[in-house]
Amino acid sequence: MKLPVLGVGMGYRDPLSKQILSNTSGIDFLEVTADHFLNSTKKRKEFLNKLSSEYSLIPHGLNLSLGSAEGLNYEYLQDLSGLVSYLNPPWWSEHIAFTKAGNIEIGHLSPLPFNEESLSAICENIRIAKEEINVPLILENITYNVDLPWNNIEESKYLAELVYRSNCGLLLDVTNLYINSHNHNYDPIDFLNNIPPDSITQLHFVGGIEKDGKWIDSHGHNTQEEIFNLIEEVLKYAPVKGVILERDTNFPEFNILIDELNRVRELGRKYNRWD
Amino acid sequence: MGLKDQQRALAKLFTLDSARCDLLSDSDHMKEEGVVIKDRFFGSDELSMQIFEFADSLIKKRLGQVRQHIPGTCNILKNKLANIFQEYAKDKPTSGIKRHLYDSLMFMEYLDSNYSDLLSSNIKKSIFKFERIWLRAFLSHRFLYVNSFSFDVGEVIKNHKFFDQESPVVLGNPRVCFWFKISKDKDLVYREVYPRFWPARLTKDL
Repeated sequence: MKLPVLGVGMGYRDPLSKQILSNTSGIDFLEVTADHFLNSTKKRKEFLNKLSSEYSLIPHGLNLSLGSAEGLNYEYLQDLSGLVSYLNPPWWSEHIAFTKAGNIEIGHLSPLPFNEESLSAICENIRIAKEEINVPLILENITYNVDLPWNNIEESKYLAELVYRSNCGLLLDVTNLYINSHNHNYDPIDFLNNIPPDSITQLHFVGGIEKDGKWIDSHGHNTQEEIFNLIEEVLKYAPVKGVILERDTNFPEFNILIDELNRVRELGRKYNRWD
Repeated sequence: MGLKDQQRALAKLFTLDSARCDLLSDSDHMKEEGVVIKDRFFGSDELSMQIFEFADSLIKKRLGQVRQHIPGTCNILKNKLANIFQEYAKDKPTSGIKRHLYDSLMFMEYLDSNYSDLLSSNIKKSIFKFERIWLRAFLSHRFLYVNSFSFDVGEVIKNHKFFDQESPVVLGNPRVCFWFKISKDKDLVYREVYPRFWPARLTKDL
């Protein structure tokens, strides 16, 4: 299925609501965090309608727990299905992670071991999710600080095999790739070269921070040069359809965020990814 | 050990301080519980450290969210906040889409039960009560909450520098505050009414 090119946008955040609604020329599309709009009040739904009248909205799930060996969070899947149906997006996204096990919700995206067993588990969950939500799904790579003792496949090859078996696209979080490559000592370009370029549908980016020699995905800092450089490598390599700035906190002046979008937009134009 | 057991073990280790203490002190106990992990897992100090660091980051993430929902109460606690929150949260994982709201409310209940001495002044008690009512009104199906305050609590929360005033500071008029919602899928509505007459004794000694 040919997906539309959406361009460069940002994750919708309530503190930026006024600026987002008055800067429509600088933002091509928005990503909405599904949890913030599930089971909404009437007023919240009206606001979602207003957003969708101005922008294409891509719903981004947090708690489906696609990597859970115990199966999906089915209640969340039902709710998510309703939201995706309501928004009718060209794709939706979730994470290559698990968020719950044994009646405990971890409250954060937790890593899967890169091995055949987890590959089978996540593919099965994706199959079930796709039966419920008939819109293309793309899968996001996460940062991880725990080196699980059960890994026996390289992460990049794991992702390549995952997108192949599941027939999903990849939401390549460039910041996460940069952070993981730094913290786990590998070359992000070697990583990239193992991923089929056509599978990379959308990107995420944002600034992180370095503390005690480790990078942290703070989602709360201006994007560093190293990350812009890596974005350029990805845009050169893959026919990406959209890029989202994922700033969550510590917001600067809005024009600084728009400048970051413009910079990525120019990079995409350089490699003919969009007009 | 299959993926299901690995994930159950990790979920416990990431969210329960008691599980992490068991890991450090008694690996045989972990094995008895069915949490059988490769021997090198127990032998790996680096991995244990990674788990502790991740668990610590999860608590900090929760605290960040709680700060957004109850900024006044968090400012009252000042540099005691992180330790008290750690103490409260260490064996209490949260769940659900509204987890941060419930976390904030349960933390307030914990403070009320264990640290009421930190909320001794009338200003602090009012701030605490105001924020707790907001959470309860938002989360419950109850139609109406009403409470009176002898000053503009919302303004004090925004300008938290007033917390440490030694002499009484009265900000704004006394007011009766209403929180109501017509049904659970409607937004919570908040209104203030300023009574013409207010007993002076309720304003004294803030």
